[in-house]
Amino acid sequence: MQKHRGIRSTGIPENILGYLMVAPALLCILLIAIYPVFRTFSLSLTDMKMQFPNMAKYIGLDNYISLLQNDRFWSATYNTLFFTVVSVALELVIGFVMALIMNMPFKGRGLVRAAVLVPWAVPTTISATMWKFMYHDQFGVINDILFRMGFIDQYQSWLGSTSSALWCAIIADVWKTAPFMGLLLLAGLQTIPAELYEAATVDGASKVKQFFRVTLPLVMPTMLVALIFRTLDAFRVFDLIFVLTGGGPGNSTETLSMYAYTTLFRNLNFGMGSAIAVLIFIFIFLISLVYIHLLSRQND
Amino acid sequence: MHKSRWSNIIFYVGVVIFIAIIVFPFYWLIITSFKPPEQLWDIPPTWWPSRFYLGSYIAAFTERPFLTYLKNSIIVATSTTAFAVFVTSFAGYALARLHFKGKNAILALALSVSMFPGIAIVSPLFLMMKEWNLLNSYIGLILTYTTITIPLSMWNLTTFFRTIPADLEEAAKVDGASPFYTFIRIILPLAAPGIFTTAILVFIAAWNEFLFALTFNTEDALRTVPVGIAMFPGQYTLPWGDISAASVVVVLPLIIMVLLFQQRIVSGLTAGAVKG
Amino acid sequence: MNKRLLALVLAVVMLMFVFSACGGSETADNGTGDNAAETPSGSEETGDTTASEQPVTITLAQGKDVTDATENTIQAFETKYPNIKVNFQEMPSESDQQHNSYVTALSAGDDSVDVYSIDVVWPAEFAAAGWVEPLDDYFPQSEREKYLQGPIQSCTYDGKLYAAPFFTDAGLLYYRKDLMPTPPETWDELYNIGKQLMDEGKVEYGFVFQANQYEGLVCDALEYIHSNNGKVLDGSNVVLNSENTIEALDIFKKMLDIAPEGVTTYIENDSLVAFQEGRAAFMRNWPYAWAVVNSDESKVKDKVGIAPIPKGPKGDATGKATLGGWNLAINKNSKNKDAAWKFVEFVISEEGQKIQAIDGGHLPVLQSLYEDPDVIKANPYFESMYDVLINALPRPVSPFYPQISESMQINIHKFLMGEFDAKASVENMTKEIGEILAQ
Repeated sequence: MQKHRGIRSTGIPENILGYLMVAPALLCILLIAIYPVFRTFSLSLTDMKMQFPNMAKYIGLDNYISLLQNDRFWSATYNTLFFTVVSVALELVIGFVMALIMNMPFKGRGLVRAAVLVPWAVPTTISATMWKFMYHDQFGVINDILFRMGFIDQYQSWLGSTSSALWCAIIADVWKTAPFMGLLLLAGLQTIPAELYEAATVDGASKVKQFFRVTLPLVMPTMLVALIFRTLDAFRVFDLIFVLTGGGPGNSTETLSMYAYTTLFRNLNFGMGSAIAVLIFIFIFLISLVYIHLLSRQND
Repeated sequence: MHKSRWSNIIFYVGVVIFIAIIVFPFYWLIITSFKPPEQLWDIPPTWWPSRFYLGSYIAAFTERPFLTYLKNSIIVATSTTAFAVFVTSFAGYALARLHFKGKNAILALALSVSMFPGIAIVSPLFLMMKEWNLLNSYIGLILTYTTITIPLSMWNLTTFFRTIPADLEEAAKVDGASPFYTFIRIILPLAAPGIFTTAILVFIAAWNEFLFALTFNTEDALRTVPVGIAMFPGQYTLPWGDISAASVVVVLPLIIMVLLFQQRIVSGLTAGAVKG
Repeated sequence: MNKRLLALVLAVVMLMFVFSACGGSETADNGTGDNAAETPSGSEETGDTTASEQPVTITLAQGKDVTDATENTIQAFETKYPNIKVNFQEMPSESDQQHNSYVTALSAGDDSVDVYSIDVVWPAEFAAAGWVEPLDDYFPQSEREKYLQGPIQSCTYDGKLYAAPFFTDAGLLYYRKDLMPTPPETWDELYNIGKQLMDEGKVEYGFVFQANQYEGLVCDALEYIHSNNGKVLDGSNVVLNSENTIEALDIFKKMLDIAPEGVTTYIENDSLVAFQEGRAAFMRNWPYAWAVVNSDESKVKDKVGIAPIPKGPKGDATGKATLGGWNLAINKNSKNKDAAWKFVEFVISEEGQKIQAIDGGHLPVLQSLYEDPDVIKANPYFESMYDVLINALPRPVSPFYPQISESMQINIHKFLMGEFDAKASVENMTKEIGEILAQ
């Protein structure tokens, strides 16, 4: 014990030690995440272009005004919302079914649980490339499967049609993230005590009734948390669209992140691009508000 | 639930279909990577290669800078993991055990940062990296990735540290050890499993990140795997075989990792969601 | 705990929002201030270093070259000028990414690169930003006349020359000479032949081209527009809205009938695969495809001919291909401009151009080489390229080209997808491009 006296006698007060231990992490967050948000906002009030950075001048809310009058911005917003709502809803339903299945005792359950994690772990650019090959209008296996099963009478250009391209992106997204949703929900299901079901059975409640009376309310908090994460994630979708369609056909799959990226790094219009980024931030903030409200009502 | 044999069979068929849909794209990827060039453009596509052709794998490694991408990704992802876990194990311990003001505010801040869309901070970060001469470097990406993974890592570790019984520390305190000594000598070893889980999650997040890697590192020699593969196609040729081969090389270790550490990953991922 | 936490999250997020909202106006000035600090601090002590005495090293930035041409050019140059060493810096091969790295470096006043190889659509932007050295004094008018005029035009902005042409490229019509005696001269002929061959079952598709929503769509569309005497810009006026352009776009859309349904997702490589597999009678592509369709893996080897792009009903005697290719520009902050020019001069000299043509298969910009026996021997098809190249037209020259191109990509693609008609598409583009140029 003798040799440890040294450490002890430096005797930093506990609260100072606490701040010191938190400091590095906090510093990173402040410098690389919080400060840039402010700077994005200040950039969005200028007409800064990367080609002429020193000619940038303050233009107030002009970028926002022209964005709000711009059809392209609204169609990107619509695409993003459509993508988010549809894919999160599908993921929730499919994820729930998966969770219920994985919660049952059956042979090979461990294997199923492991398999569903795999799509989640693969880089999105790789899974998007895989799907892009499968959707191809000539050599794609999806055309082959649907043709053989008689669902289509000729090969379709899934990514080349404005009516199907966004759905293609949604399917690829659901494939990748529904299993993840399933695992989160499974964790929620496992916290429900078995006695509750037993009691319900004694009361003569049917399986369906049990689901709505017992399972759903008890899994609700977990579900809401899972939904927050998935919704915010889907709302900022970028990698998938970048690889799968690049925003086409006819801009029908251009999401807000894609629009911001193009404006920032293809047109090098940092002022306007930052304004789009700020609007995305505001949308995300509003979505979080709704969920936080729901969650706090849950807890009451 | 399934008393009758039939419902049992239907149940298993359902499970098999689920698994098939999950696995099929991987099957297709692997098949494509082994298809000889003359079979790649068959209509309808062939479901099994006529011969196992290794040319795509050889081409991915020799004719393309795929090894460089792998090296870059490994450097960036492991450094990020090391930094993020190092920094947040201190922070996590302090938040879980020490008494000081503003703990909840810090946790809340981290949570809200984890919801930031990357696109909202990419433009100023790009300019900052430019000012600091960190574009086309490992450090620029490592710094950014460390920051974006800190919230996840901090929450996970804080939750984990809280599960370690307090008696051990009490005992150490009675013995006269300082909180810092207690942390290094007693808590850290006990927290190894939690740290390991967190490390896997951080590693996967850093390995898969795309937007910052795409915008910060434009030089081929510094690209990471996700960007490298997204840019693989090139404008003039359609190297499906090469892309598939490279993807298989990237995906296989991930699959093995996921299968091995499946339970840890799930517990790490769900810790936050269930305990809120 | 749980509830308090949530309240905190809310509070923090809201605070941040409020802060950023009111802090904005003052930080905006900081923002611009910071940017001013990024102004090129480039040194002015240039030009003294002559190539004669002291050895100097210059750096060339260029996209990846899969051939030996760049290496051989540098070697030949260093043999000729032993005092100048050339350092080759390899850049990303995708145009967007390369543009990005260049802009990042140049806007920061970087002087580590002396000679940049830039896409034909960038000189105006780089010139307007003041990043590249005007070359009028180095490259006299009398010399320029020996070069193809399209590429020279692409180097010119506001009456001044800001780059030297490096090698060129132009859209071509590939046709199956085993299926037809002569290639079509007009779009209508092309459509009819393609349709007939499809009906006869000789090919699956009449025509493959590039109609994905990306830069290549602009190249393809401009060929229809230019070949029907339409135009995008006249000086700084948008003159897109004309009968000729509308007709040209309608012809473009008609081609979708004889193309694979997925052609609206095709870039160069997709069309090449379809053509090389023998599925299509015609293909619009760049000269690089020639070597591929005649390789051993190709199913149409030795069955392919090349022809100029067809013309429209209101067009001139021949169709107008879209010009591609690369130019060489000298960094304004370069410390060794004279040595850099020596290198550029060498690359565009007969000796340098021959290396590019023979070792790299690149189309030379020096007119005389299209009659040079060595060059023709190495690339027999170059001979027929001359007529295509002297008729080829560059894309609109403007410092805001990326935005102009984006507007065209979106509006033309929407038109091809049937969202609106050619007239509406042309009107949208006219309006948007007008706004872009007005900024």
